[in-house]
Amino acid sequence: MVQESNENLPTSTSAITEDEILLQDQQMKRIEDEQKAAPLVGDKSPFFTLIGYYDEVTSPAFFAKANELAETYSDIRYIRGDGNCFYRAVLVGLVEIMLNDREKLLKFIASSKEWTDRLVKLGFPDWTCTDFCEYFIEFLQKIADGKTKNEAVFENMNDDNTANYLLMFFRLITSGYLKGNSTEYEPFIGEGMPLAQYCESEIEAMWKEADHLAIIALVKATNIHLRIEYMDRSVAPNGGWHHNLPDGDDATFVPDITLLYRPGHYDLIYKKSVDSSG
Amino acid sequence: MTEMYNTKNAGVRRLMQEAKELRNPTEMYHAQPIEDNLFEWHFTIRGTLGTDFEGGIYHGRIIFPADYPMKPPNLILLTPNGRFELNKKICLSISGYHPETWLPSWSIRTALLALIGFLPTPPAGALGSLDYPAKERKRLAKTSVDWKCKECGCVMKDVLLPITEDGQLKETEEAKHLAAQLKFQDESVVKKEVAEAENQEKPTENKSENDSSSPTVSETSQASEKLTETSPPETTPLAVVVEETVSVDDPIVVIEPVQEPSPVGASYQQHRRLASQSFDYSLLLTVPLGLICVAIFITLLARRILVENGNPLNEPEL
Repeated sequence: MVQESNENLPTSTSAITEDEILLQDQQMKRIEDEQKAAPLVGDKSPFFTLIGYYDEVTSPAFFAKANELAETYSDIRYIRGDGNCFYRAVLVGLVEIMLNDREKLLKFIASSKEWTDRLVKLGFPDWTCTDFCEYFIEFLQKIADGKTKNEAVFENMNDDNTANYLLMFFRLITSGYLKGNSTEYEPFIGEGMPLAQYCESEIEAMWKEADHLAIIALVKATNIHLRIEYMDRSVAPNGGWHHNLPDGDDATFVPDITLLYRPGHYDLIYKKSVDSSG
Repeated sequence: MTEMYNTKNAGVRRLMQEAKELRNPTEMYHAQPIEDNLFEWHFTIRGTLGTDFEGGIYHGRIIFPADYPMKPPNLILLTPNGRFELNKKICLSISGYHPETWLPSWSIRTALLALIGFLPTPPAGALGSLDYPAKERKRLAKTSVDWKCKECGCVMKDVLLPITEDGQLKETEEAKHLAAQLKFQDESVVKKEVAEAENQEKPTENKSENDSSSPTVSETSQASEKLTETSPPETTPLAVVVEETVSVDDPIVVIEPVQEPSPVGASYQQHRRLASQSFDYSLLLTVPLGLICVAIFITLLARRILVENGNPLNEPEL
């Protein structure tokens, strides 16, 4: 379903003036197809599979880091790299938590309903935004009512249409959080861009990667504890190997969700459980 | 139609809801799915007062990608209008900053209002755009009311609600505001046009769509009141530039009969005559100007040569 072969591409060159454009389109299509070759959300797989991506000789730093992380983390869920990976990873992580914890599920349904009203008050386009919220709440409610089984939940997560609709809710509350606290966050936006414009062009638009501001906003909007492990120290905002959000001491911080950051991409990772032999 | 589609599919659900929202025609726009296909609609829009498109009513198709609303709808105009080529996909995107950005929270209504607002803006040479002279656009606007869609059979003058000046003004404001944010072009140039996004990239922000459910006059007036607070009033009434729209380097009115199936055979001849008129005017200006420039240049050159040759060293006075 996901993979469309390249034979479907328009090969006609009848419109000579548009040759270049056609080529560009083909290129875009190829990139999209490549992305779509990977599932939106992969199955949980052993963490050591990550080590296989790096060569000991040509990229020793990443190879060593992957080995090091493998001591702490047991599993990884690869997320498709389509610009939505941060939001999708958090979405999947949260849904997993809620599948195992009914109390948290009900709490999140309640807070999602609050968000719906808040977005309307913030002036988001009326019914289209509410529609994304309602779809998300309905999705959670079905889990709460036992109408959607766990396997079906992950089928939904891998269906482009459904999954992206759910994901839009996360983009909207991220944007909503920033707009609701604009005085606090506007100074962080570069080039004197107004916050509202930043939100529309960088957050509310699909396929736009989340930057640090978006990450903070989503963490605050969803009230989760998030840890991000970095493969590359230089990109971590605090210069460390990992980053806790909201800021917290390593000793006391218990992350709900942990993500692995490789340049330009986030995947979902899972810590070894304490009782497992390692 | 409901039974044909999986109503659990989020996109289908959304389109059905939009169809419901837009069921009743307004003064400015109307759009509904064609009979057997939820992913293809027909729309009708009205040209705004005070522009070349005043009095015009234009019809077209909307084709939705399978992952609408994550990706934008494609609009195709069918009624001759003098601003967009017919039967070509016009692609919707935000201007300037990230030209390929469409927000999933926008709707068909947003797209139609933007198109209305975009009609009177200069095409800036974009592929798929037409730059007919005002006179021709006005003529097309006049004839458009009798235009009939071959597919859905509707005649333009019957589609929209009768116009009340008050109602139109309100929605025109919103349309203009949206057009400042959005950019319509032939699909294929969008990627190339990044740099040329010109003046429209100024940050006129704040939510553009405040309410939409049923665009009665009172509701839309609220909306546009909010709008006028946040956005600077549009200047540049385009009617000012009526006859002067003569471009020097290309004879603009090159009309291919294919995309301009005008009912009257004579109108084609009229286009030709218009073309020659505008061409003549431009020549009248450029040719003499050019000649004068060349003459001045030669004079100066000649003088210099003469000065240098005639007065070798010690004659600084001349």
